[in-house]
Amino acid sequence: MSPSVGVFLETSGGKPRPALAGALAAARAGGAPVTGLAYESEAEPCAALLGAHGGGRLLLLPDETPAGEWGAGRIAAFLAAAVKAEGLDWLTGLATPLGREVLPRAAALLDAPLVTDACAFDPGAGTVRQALYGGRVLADLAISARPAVVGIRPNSIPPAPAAGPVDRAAFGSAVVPDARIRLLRVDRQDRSGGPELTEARVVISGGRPMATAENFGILSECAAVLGAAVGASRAAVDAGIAPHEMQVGLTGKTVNPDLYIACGISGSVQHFAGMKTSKVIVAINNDSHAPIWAKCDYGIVADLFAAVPALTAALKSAAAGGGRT
Amino acid sequence: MKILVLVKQVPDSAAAIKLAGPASIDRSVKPVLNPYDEIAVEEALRIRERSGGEVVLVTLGPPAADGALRAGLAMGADRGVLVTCDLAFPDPRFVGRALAAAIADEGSAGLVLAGLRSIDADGSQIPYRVAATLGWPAVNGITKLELSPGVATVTREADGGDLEILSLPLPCVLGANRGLNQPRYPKLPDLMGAKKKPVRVVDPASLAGVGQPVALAVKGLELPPPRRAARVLEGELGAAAVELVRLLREEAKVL
Ligand SMILES: Cc1cc2nc3c(=O)[nH]c(=O)nc-3n(C[C@H](O)[C@H](O)[C@H](O)COP(=O)(O)OP(=O)(O)OC[C@H]3O[C@@H](n4cnc5c(N)ncnc54)[C@H](O)[C@@H]3O)c2cc1C
Repeated sequence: MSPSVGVFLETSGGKPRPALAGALAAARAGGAPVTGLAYESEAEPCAALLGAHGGGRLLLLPDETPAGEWGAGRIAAFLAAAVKAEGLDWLTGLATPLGREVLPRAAALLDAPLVTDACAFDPGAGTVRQALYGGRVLADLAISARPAVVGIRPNSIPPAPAAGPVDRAAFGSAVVPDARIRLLRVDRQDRSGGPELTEARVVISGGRPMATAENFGILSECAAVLGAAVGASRAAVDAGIAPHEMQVGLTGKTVNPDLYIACGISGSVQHFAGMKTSKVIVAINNDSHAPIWAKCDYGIVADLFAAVPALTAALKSAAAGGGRT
Repeated sequence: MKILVLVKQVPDSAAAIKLAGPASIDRSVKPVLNPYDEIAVEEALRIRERSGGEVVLVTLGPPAADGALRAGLAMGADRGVLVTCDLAFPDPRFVGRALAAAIADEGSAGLVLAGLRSIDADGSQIPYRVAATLGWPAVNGITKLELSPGVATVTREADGGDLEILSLPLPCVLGANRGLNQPRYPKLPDLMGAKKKPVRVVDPASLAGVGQPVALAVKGLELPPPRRAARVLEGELGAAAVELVRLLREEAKVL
C-alpha cells in the first residue's frame, strides 16, 4: 500500500512558500494522494499550489488563534492532531525557521521519528538522506516506524508540476495547543522584503570586511537586481554589523540556493556548513590565497567595494538585454 | 533552584570527518562541548550566581562523553550525570526518553536548560522530546530569559526576525540560542578543579521506562564530493564582472 503523506503548507505574507513545490514532489513520489495542511484563510493560494503539483486533499484549520495564544504552538498541535486523526504515515514540511520549530514539536507530541533537515526523501521506500556534522557527511537513514516526520531542506528536491484535483475539507478534530505557553507580545523587526534566506534561489552574503551595517547596502542593491536574499558571516554578525537572523553557517541558517555569492568571506568550514550544497558558489575576495578559492566555482580577486557595484552594473545591463556599453 | 543542563559532546566543527566503514565514522575526531550547550551552561551559572542553587549537567553518550561534562564543570557547574550509551547514532526518541528519566531520577529540578541544536546531528528535537516525556512545557531557541517565582519569561527569534516574548510556568525545558549570553572561558585552575567534581554514571536500563538503547538504521554514509577548482576571472573589473554574469547565465545556467 502506498503511504499517506501530509505536507505542512507554510505561508509567508499569505502566500505558500515557493520551495513547497519540491516538498510536494517528494510527497507524491510515494504514489498516494497528498494531504495539504493549511489555515482556512489561506485555502485559496494553498489550493492553487496543491492543484498545480498533483492535487490532493486540503485539510483546513480554522484560524481563530485566541489572544495570548502562541501561533507556532497552535500549528504544531494541528499538525500532530491531523496526523493522528487522518492516520497519516508521514508528515513533511520545509526546514525553514518556522518548519524547524513546528515539525520537531509535532514529532515530540507524536513520539515519532524525525529528520529535521533532509536533502532527499522517499516516502515509499521509507528512506531519508540527511547531512551530518555541518555537511561534512551525508547519511542515508531507513525509517521504519510510522508516523514519521521529515523537514525538507528548501531547493533540494526538484519540483514536479502536474495539474490535479483538490478536495477541501475542514479539520473537525480538536486542536489543543499547550495552553501553559502564553504569548505576551511580538516585537516586530524591519523585514527586508526580499525572499526568505533559507529558501532563496540566490543569496549574496557579506563578511567581516563589510565593516558597517550601511555598507550592506551595496549587497542589497545587487540582491534587488538578482531577486536574492542577503546573508552574512558570523564574523559580520559578531561585529554587530548584521543581525543574527542573517547569519549563514553552522551556528546560523542553512541555505541551499542555485547561486551563492560570498563577498569578503574567507571560506571557513563553519561558514561552508551553512551553504556548501549551493549549486554554484561565487567568491569576491581580495586575497588570492583565501581558503574559499579551493571550494568555489567562480570568482573575482578584487576589493569587494569595487567588485560588487561592478557586478550589479553588469547584471543590470545583462537584464536590459545588452552587453556592456 | 536546582537547574539541570542537557549537554552533548560533538566532533570539533573544524576537524575533518573520516569514515570508518560503510555506516560508521572514525570516532577519534577531537571532541568538544556543543557550542549551544555552552550557552545553556552559562545561563544556568548566571542564575545560580544571582539566586543560589545547584547546576547539574546531564549527558548521554559513551564513557568519553565525560569530557563534555568536564568542560561544563570547568565553567562552574557543580556536578554531572553521564547516562551511558555507546551507540554512534542513538535514536533521538530513545535519547529523549533516557534524558527525561535521568531528570526525573535527579528529582526536584526547577528548570531544565539545553542548547537549541547540536552541531553534529542538528535535529533541534531533544528539548521537545524531553519536555513531552516529562509533561512539561518547552520553548526552544531563546535569546533572553527572566525568572520570577514559578514563571519563566523568554524571548525567541521567530520567522523573519520578529521577537516573540512568551511566558511559561516552571518547571520547563528551555533551549538556548546564540545571543542569550557570552559563555565564559574556563581558566587553567578551573580545568584542574573540574576533574575532581563528582560525576554519577547511570545505566539507562536502570531508569524507569527507558529500556535498552535503540540505534537509528543508518544504511550508508558518504563524504560530499569536492568542488572542482575555481575559475578566477582576471583583468579589468568591469569586463570581469560582465564575463562572470555571462558564465553564470550560459555555463552554470543559474541566472
Ligand atoms: C563553533 C563555531 C561555529 C561557527 N559558526 C559560524 C557560522 O555559523 N557562520 C560563519 O560564517 N562562521 C562561523 N564560525 C566562524 C568561522 O570560523 C569564521 O571565523 C568566520 O566565518 C569568518 O568570517 P569572515 O569570512 O567574514 O571573516 P574573515 O575570516 O575575517 O575573512 C574575511 C575575508 O575577506 C577578505 N577581505 C578583506 N577585505 C576585503 C575587501 N575589501 N574586499 C574583498 N575581500 C576582502 C579577506 O581576505 C578574508 O578572506 C564559527 C566558528 C566556530 C568555532
